[in-house]
Amino acid sequence: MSIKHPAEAAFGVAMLLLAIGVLVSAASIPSGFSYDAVGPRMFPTIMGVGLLLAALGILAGAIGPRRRAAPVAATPVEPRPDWRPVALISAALLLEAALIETLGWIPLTGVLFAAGAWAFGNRRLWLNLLIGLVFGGLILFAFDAGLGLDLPLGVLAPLFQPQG
Amino acid sequence: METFTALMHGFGVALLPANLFWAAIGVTLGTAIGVLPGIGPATTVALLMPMTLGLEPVSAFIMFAGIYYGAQYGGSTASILLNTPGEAGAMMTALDGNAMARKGRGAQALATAAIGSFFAGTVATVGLTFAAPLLVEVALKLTAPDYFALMILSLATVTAVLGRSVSMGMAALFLGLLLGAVGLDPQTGQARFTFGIVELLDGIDTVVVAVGLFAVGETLYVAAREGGAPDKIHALRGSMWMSREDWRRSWKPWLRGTLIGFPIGAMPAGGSEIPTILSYTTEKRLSRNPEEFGHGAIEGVAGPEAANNASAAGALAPLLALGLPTSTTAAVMLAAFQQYGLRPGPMLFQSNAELVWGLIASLYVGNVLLLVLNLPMVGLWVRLLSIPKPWLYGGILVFATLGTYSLNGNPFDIVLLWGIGMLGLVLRLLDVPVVPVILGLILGPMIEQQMRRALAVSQGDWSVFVTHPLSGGLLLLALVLVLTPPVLRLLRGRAARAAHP
Repeated sequence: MSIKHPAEAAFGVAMLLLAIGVLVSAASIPSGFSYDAVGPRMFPTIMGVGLLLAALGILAGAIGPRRRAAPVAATPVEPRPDWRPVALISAALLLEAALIETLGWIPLTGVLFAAGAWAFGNRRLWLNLLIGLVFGGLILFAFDAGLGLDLPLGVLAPLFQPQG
Repeated sequence: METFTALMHGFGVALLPANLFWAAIGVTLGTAIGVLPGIGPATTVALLMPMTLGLEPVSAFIMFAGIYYGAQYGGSTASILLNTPGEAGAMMTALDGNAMARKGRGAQALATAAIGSFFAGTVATVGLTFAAPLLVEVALKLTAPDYFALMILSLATVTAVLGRSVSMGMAALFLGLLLGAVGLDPQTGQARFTFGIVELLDGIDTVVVAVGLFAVGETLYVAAREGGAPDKIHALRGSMWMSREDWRRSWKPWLRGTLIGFPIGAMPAGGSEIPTILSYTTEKRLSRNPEEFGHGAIEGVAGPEAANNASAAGALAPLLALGLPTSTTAAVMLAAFQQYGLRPGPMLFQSNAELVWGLIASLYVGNVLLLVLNLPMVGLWVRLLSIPKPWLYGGILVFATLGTYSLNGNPFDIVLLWGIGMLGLVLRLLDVPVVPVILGLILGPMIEQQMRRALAVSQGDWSVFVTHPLSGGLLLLALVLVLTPPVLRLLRGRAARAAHP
């Protein structure tokens, strides 16, 4: 036995683990009241079983003998995904989540925009930071003034406080 | 007659100057975001949802109707000039539309798409106007087991039709259902899958999932796959108008596309993918020059575009009358209703007639606005298309966090956005369809509610689902749909082996 599609097999294993986790977690949900014929546990259990079936189906498709004499060369080989830009964008998003309430919307929008641009190959960091800051500023003013929604000012808050 | 009076009343609401203004803003913003490569109507609606939060519900939904139509139009522009369809419904347009653009007939492709969309959208909205009240009559007779079966059928179709294997579709569907179950159980108040995280008690917002899966997931996917390599954009040159010949070849596909799109869009069949494919193959079969298809046949743009828009209006019928979303965009619209504490369904026509008919009337208005605003502004949209990729995706990330954060003002939602974006990336890399995730998320809680309601009435007797003739029939249909592809494959495999021992 060999693995036909390693990536799919890995996804199948992940789904299998998730299914087990869901079933275990569902079993620990306290049951409902007597008038509730089904209770809060039933639906999560059904989902656990569904995930389990899906995982087994995926694994069955991914594991098995490689196709005999299949014209492998005919199908274009997809390039391996490049994880570096993914890591960069992820870091910028998580940074924004961590610091948006202290630093405010504008600086973190600058960082996110510059990180996104960098991930797509534009390396003019300072220019992109500046564009991001201006962009973030415009959105903040449009939102706060026009739509009455509040985005956090963060470190810039003192600038907008009335004096005294 | 009653319908006509209600519609006139709706026009009274939609044509108020303030509401016309919001419709125009919606159409413009919808086109501006929808035209960005890889961004489909569902993502556009989700990204722009926070902009409507400060408005009255009626105005907000009128703006939504504009955004929706604008996004459809913008999406077809991107498909034609850049070959980057933002969602499945635009894929067929991209085939011949982009081929026309390569030949320097991009302007004609855009025109037949715009006029066809206008025609189909208007006819389908008339259809919606008269079908919705009829559907409401039906909806009032449906019981909990019927609703349950209808939703199961809807999910079964989406899972069986999309993607290349039922297991993959099922995985996506159950992931969606699982995300939908996170939070407090609405009936007993028990926390489920919250892992002690307070923010999860309220459940996961559909907007966060839609933006995460589509906008962030797509951004990460493109970054991981192609990086900053620029897309090839085809400039508009030559005459901007459709010739007499173009008109002659377009009007029948518009008509047929509309007739195919509206009824299929109203069925629980997963939105615009099937009707557009059906329209494309119909046009190809009826054409005297089928070999032109794929190389810039104008029928191949006119038909699918009409079908796409007609199915979009068709999908609103079950959404408004039954509260049942049948496409991704409808699922996001349902989330918007929930944001305002409104529940689409037969009751909404009574309790909020002004809103429902105002929304339907604004679909007519939005369509007209789209045509008069967008045809002259096509140059501007083309310029938007040529934004360099790094800035484009940087901007999309900013809009994604803006939409997510401004929902609740909670930074945790950005973490969630990232996590769901990563899920979207993985699903895309493995070629797993993402539409079942969204529909599972939004239908999951509704299915559970109807299931428990039905079982409460039957005192725990599961046979209610099969003894009710309607629900039994629908469930059987769902089972057939899910089992047919693998059984066919098995039989075909066996036949092939018998033929070549």
